[in-house]
Amino acid sequence: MSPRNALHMLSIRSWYRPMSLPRGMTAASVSAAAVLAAIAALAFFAPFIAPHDPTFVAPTVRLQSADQTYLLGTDSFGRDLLSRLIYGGQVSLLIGLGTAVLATAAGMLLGLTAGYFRAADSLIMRAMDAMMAIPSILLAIAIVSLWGASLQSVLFAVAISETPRVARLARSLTLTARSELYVEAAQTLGTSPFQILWRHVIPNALGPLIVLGTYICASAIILESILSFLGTGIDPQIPTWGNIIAEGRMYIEIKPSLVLWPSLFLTVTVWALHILGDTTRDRLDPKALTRKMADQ
Amino acid sequence: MSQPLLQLHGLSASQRDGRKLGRPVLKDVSLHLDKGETLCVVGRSGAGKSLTALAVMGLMPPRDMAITGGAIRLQGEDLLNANPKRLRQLRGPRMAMVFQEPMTALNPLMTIGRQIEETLAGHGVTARRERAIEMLKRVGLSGAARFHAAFPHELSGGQRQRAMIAMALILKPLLLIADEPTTALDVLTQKQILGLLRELTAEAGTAIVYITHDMGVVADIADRVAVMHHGRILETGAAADVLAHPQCAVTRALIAAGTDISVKPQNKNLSGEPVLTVEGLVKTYEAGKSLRRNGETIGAVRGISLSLRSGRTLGIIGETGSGKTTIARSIMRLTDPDSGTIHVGGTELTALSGLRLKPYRKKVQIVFQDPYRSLNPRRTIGQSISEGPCNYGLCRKTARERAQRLLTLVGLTEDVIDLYPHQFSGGERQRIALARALALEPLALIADEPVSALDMATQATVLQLLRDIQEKTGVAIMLITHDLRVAAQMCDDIALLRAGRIVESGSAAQLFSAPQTAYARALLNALPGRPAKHDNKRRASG
Repeated sequence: MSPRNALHMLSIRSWYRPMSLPRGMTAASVSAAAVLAAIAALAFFAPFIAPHDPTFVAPTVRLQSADQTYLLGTDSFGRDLLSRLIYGGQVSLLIGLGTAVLATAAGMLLGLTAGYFRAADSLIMRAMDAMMAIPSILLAIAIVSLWGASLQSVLFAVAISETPRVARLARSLTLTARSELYVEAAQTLGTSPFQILWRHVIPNALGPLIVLGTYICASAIILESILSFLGTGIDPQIPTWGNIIAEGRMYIEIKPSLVLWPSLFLTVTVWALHILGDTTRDRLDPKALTRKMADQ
Repeated sequence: MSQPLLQLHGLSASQRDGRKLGRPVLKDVSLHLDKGETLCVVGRSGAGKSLTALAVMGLMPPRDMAITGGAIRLQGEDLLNANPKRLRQLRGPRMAMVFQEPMTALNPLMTIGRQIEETLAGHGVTARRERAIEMLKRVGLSGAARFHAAFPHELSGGQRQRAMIAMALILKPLLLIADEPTTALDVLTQKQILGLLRELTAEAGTAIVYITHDMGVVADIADRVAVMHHGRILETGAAADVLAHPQCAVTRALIAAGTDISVKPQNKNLSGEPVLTVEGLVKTYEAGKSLRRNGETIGAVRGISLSLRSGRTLGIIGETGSGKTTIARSIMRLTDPDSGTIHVGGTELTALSGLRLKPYRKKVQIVFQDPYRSLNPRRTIGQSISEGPCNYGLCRKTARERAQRLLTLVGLTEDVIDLYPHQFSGGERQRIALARALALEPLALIADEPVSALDMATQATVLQLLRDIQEKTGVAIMLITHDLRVAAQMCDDIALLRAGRIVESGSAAQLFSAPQTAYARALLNALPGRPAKHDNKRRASG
């Protein structure tokens, strides 16, 4: 390459692409994955990591500042804040992952049925529209108050209020996939509708649904915290980030760290999940796929 | 003339990934073009023809391609080092481009008129509406005011290409680059568009770089020819010289594929029993819900009767929108016909559906036009080929063995069975689609424009494969095509379709040597590379 042309390439063709990281990898996505891995490890190994029993009440050491024994201090019952945060991650991640799996599965089932079988379409989708018309927090509160506050009822309540979003996306993906030529080809080969869904539609619709799943995971964690904060969520005995914030609220003027720390954990987790979702979406982008194909 | 209008000197380009340079795509391309000259750049797909054109226009995708050397000069001005603003000034009054697919090159949300006026506005021209309407008239869109206010989807393919030409030529550029502008059009429209290009550019003294893979078109319009292959220029010269004395094998292959009408030798197998009979097939689309052209619904079928005999090939020929594909989809029951009967091996199909239809589905199979969309990208080709046999109860292992056998039959190797579709070229994918159709051992095979998405050389090998398979298996083939050359090579019988009705049918030999209807004669005369004066010669040889 002549020097003049090299200069030209740099000056015109590549000025807007200053850094060339490996495709699909950014500093943000790498750190998001690291953060999630750390939080998951903390939650999973909580019994070994947490310095204290998160539910052990010690009135003599209430509202302690951070010191050697209590790294982040204690709350109004003298419970160790750090241990409560670590255990709280268990519930948050469980709710997040559980909701993502449940809502994706249910939404997919409904969306696929609506998208592939015309007769079911308006029935299912109008029901989904009706659910979407109710704010998800209200829907969740209603369901929890119906079933009583427990981990399971919160999980199902959050999953149910997230389902319509998935169903909508799954339906539109199914509509796109069913007009594909290879679906018609399968019809001419005598493939039954269920086999067509299983072999041809689902594999090609899965990518965007997984991306949506990560977003749902994030919003479920927030929704659970809101429920706990409002006092309609999981039993206040069980440490969750929302419960810790709700209790800390009363002492925010004396000891703001009781609200700050759980909020920070919550924010960072949700941020990391969103970044992960964005990265996945970029990687599954059909344009990225075709570019990969063209390279081969 | 001392200085050529356009000069490419040693132009090289590579694929790029970030800053890494990948496979070279243009290697030392040198070309020159004088004022008013027509240069045809020919080659197979992937030869680098379009990339050369994009490089001249400064439109090479900067993320994926990088120019690695050489120079492009327009009237002596260096285009590679021109800044974007200067390039914008040049595009329009100095150089313009017409793309292959006018539907994707036009903005679907803007009227034709506004898109033309946009070009004018960019160069500060006034009285834009008048100029736009005037130009639409000149490209032969009668009732120009109506087209001025039309959206791209309201126009036919030919009309859209005329609108594109209007847009490209409105500022009277010195250089027009036309990238396969007629490949997507039928022969009659192609002939009109070529005539239009010739006429308009002669008036303004515009030079044309015309990109094509069709040597017939070259013979019609080129002054000079450049043959490209794998990013290199293999041969350049005056069109007459190159066509008469091609120097390299690639050129000879392109010429053979492009200009020969060789009618298939008479098929002796006249006694074949009818395997597929269609009678009085009608399929119309609801008014107001579909595209219309001159008040007629596009793609409708209005009473078609056909009979397909084993061991023979029936060609269904017609322009875009004449209802060819609707016939295929009705037979395959991908769409339900309004009336008429379809008999396969003595059973009437239109009354059956769902599970009762399944035993008959395997008897008729189809190969679709677009090999890039007809295979599921997430299934291996082995899975795709054995899908049919598995549906009919063959165990997975036997089906896989059959798939391997079929892969060899269609000219691929057994060991590719676990690869995915994107690892194959268009022609190979069409072979895979063919293997999938044959896996059910059908009595009849419907091939819906099986080669129109492929380049000429690949077309020839796929067509040869279809002939071989018919010889080996005795399958009846219904070949749907808009390409008379393909039909001539392949078909024993032909049904000529126009606006949903058969206008002429009979043996291929008869249709090509002594067409009965005016429409058939017009189609034959419109074939590129066959000027009217050679008409008698062709008839004699056909």
